[in-house]
Amino acid sequence: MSDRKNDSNYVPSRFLSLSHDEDGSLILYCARTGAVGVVADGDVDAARSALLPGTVTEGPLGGILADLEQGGFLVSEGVDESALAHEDYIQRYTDKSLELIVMPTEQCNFRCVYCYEAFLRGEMAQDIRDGVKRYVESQSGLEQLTLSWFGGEPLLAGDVVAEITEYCQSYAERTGAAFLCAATTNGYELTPEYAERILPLGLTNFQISLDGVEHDHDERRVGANGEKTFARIVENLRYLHESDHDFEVAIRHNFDPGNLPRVSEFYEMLKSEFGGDDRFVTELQPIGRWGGQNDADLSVCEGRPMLRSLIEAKKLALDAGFRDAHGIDMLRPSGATCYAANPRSFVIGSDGKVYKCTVELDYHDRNIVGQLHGDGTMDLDWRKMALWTETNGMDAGKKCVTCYFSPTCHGAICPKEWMDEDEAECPKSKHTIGDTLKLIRAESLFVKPAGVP
Amino acid sequence: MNNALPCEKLLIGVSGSIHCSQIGGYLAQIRREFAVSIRVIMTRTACDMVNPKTVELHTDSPVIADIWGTPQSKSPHITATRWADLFVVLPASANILGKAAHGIADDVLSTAILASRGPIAFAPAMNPSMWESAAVQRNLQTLKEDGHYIIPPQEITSVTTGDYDSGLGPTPESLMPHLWHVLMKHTKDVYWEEATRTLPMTPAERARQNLPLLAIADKQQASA
Repeated sequence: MSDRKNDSNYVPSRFLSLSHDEDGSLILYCARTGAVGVVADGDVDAARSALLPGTVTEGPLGGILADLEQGGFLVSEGVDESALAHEDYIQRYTDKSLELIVMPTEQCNFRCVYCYEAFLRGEMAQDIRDGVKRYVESQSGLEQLTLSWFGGEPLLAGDVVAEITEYCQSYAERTGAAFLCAATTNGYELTPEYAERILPLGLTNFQISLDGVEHDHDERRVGANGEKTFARIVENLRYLHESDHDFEVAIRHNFDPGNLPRVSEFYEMLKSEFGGDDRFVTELQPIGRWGGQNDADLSVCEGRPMLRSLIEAKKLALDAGFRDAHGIDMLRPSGATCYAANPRSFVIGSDGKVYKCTVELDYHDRNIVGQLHGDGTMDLDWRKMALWTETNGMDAGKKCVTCYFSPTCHGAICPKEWMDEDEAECPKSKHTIGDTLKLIRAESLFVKPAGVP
Repeated sequence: MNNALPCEKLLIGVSGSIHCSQIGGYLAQIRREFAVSIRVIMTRTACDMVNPKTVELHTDSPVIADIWGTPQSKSPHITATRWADLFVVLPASANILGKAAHGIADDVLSTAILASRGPIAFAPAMNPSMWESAAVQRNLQTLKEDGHYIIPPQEITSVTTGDYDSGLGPTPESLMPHLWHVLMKHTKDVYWEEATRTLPMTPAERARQNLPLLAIADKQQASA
């Protein structure tokens, strides 16, 4: 191999973030490699000096500096890190993964106050179910198959979910592909009977919303006939908690100024119910005006106060013993990139329409990118596909090009927002990077908190 | 499987790098995974290295090796570049990079590059000592500043020396994601204004403005 110039000199990565923790240690993050590291107090000065912008450190490296090089915090002088990040990102065009987000029905048994869906279509017909299975079967050399159930409420079409999940699990077993199956469900129909049926078939990851303590939840996540929903969901979750099944439930808390004051009470309730069970994790999402019929009446958290509330609530969740469902994953390379930006991710409507975005659905023609047929073939409109897979964030002159966080989102945190607004909001974890790194560090030292069963 | 390949019409310019001896492997993969119709321009040196008849096995029309074109395709530097959805120079020798960077048009390929309206993807392939030369690096920088795209070479085995080294061109596998990216980005850029002219409207938003639901016909299915 030819000699490289400047191989023995090292400079700080351009994708770095540094933050100090209360004990004096330095928490480092490199967005290109996804490495998070803690520099102990005694090495902080040496590390900080080497990581100052413009510093050149002569090799060979030893001690803490060698560790910094290993994590990508220091890089060989002359290395084009942006080119490396770009090279990694474009592999998504030909990688051997496939993500199908399937809507087995668009009907729902809830009428959440902030919902934007219209519940227009019913259960997926048999020919489209066959189409999904044949489409999966037609993939060659697949290494990762992700099947995500969405709706409507997917478990209203429990037989469809079971049929396709079972098929995909069997496909993965036959071909050696890794299989991940998840459902975004309100949890109402995840009864003990259905759990016993579906978990062995491979559906083991659930995102279930509890929007606070009982009365807060029941005001926001209302049954289609006005009924309360909290008690039955928690009852279903209790069954899972008491079972020996291998699963993960991400309890999503949608917050607004109304339920936020009781978030501490909410996590205390979760702790008493599910604390110490690492199969339960948490996530938080500020309620937004997403285009539903109650938008004008919604009170929402926004801007810096929302970010502050988010961090405070995450600390409470951690104190209660729950890991963040997305904490460190959002900091990995491409971890904050929207699924819609992935050329190998498709949303399949119950009628076989193919979308990219589950928020835009058929509310704009540009999101209807194709049609899945019963024979397993898929028509795709590549012009529309390009809108979602090549967002504007990384275009010349746009804010993401020079951003230290760009290897996590590549300017594609939300392709839809780039289309609808002048520019998309940055990932929340970038805005709160200092606190986020502290929380990740705390989670890495996680021990079961006092008081959990 | 997907019913259509992403690139309808692909123009490939083959220049005189010895890496062009592997063009058959690239064309086979491109036909299978990426492009419906392929036309090829070859320089005189490339024609000395690879018989155009071999290349034509993979394409839908005769190789263009002359500025005068053929009776079916006159002035190919204009007609072929207007025809193409994407133009890639594969492999791109140090010589063609230099010509492209400096606007020299003295054969059919360099003239086509100058006549092309859209961005071109260049896949450099040459000896490492040439690749690392200041002149080539300067030319690459010029091409990037002109809006063209450089496909980074991989470390592979040199045809001339047998050494494993850098600068020697992409492999067919490493080429494909770059072709996808350049095509999709160009497609997005062309379509963006039309696609973002109107905002999406949820059913509730349409109802507020007394507009009909887009998917009203599908309601029957829901109630069935």
